[in-house]
Amino acid sequence: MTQTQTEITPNNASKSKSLGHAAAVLRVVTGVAFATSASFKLRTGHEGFTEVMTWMINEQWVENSFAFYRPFLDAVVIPNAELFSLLVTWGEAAIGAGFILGFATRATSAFALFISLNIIMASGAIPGAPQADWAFVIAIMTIFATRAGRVWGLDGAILSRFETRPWWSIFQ
Amino acid sequence: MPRAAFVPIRLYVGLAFFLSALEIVFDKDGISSWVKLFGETAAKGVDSDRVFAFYKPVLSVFVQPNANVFAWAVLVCFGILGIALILGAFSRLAGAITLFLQINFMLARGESFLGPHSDGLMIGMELAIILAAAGRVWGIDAVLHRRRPQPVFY
Repeated sequence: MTQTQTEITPNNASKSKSLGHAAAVLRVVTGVAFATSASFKLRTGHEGFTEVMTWMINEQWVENSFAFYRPFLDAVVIPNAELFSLLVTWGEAAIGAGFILGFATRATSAFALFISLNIIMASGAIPGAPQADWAFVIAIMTIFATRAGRVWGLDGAILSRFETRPWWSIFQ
Repeated sequence: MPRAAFVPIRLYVGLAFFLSALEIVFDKDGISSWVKLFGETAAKGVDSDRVFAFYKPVLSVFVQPNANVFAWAVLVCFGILGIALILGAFSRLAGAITLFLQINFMLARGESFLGPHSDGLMIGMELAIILAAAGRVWGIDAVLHRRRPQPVFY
């Protein structure tokens, strides 16, 4: 064995296992947070959440949202509030299910990151400040980087059935 | 799987705790407002229907009568744990203590662990720090671990 190859030792295997478990725990907890957020919106009802979302954008976030993002909120989101409330609710539900099951984890992370960054731009969370929205961004980026669905997840179970990695494994 | 992927989580949790300590210390009303808030939260928890029955005696017997001591202890813990996690020193131990504090805060406020808030996510992040030993990359734990492998604390 050359020096450049990684030797498989009990120590390395144990390290890889504990890192995999860490990633899986983070993935499931993030998934549960998204799923409960979606269930809260579903319980509020479509019309109820549309009203809440419009009120938040118009009243609560009006002074905080990023300047370049404000015209998008006013011109696109508010006139189509019903559609966007539906997209956010079911988007969060899909992300929650994807993370909890560990299915298509990288694609799910990319979508979750897109939604979280849009919420940050709309609500105006300060970059770098330890606020809830940034916690989600950091957790999602870690899930993406570690391919967290391959431990305790459907991604791992599906991939183990193939001898060579299929092209669509880039989404996992 | 790269351990470095867990470093931003360690830094985030560390920063969150350290900035909380700074916010309390530099509050315009001084630390007394934190001590007052701490006592009020404990009192509210004792009367609240949302707080688990098993946790109410903890609040009424231990925390409420000694709110001053607990408030100071928590403040010191915030500062030390924040610095430890930012520097990556004894990160597993620091992660375990932050997890303990976080769980106690949630129990005291009667919050559900599955609610649509970030406290549950913080618990997940702290568990990830412990499992991944996140201080062994870009942290003091890397040096400590090389010199004396001790998997429990770092």
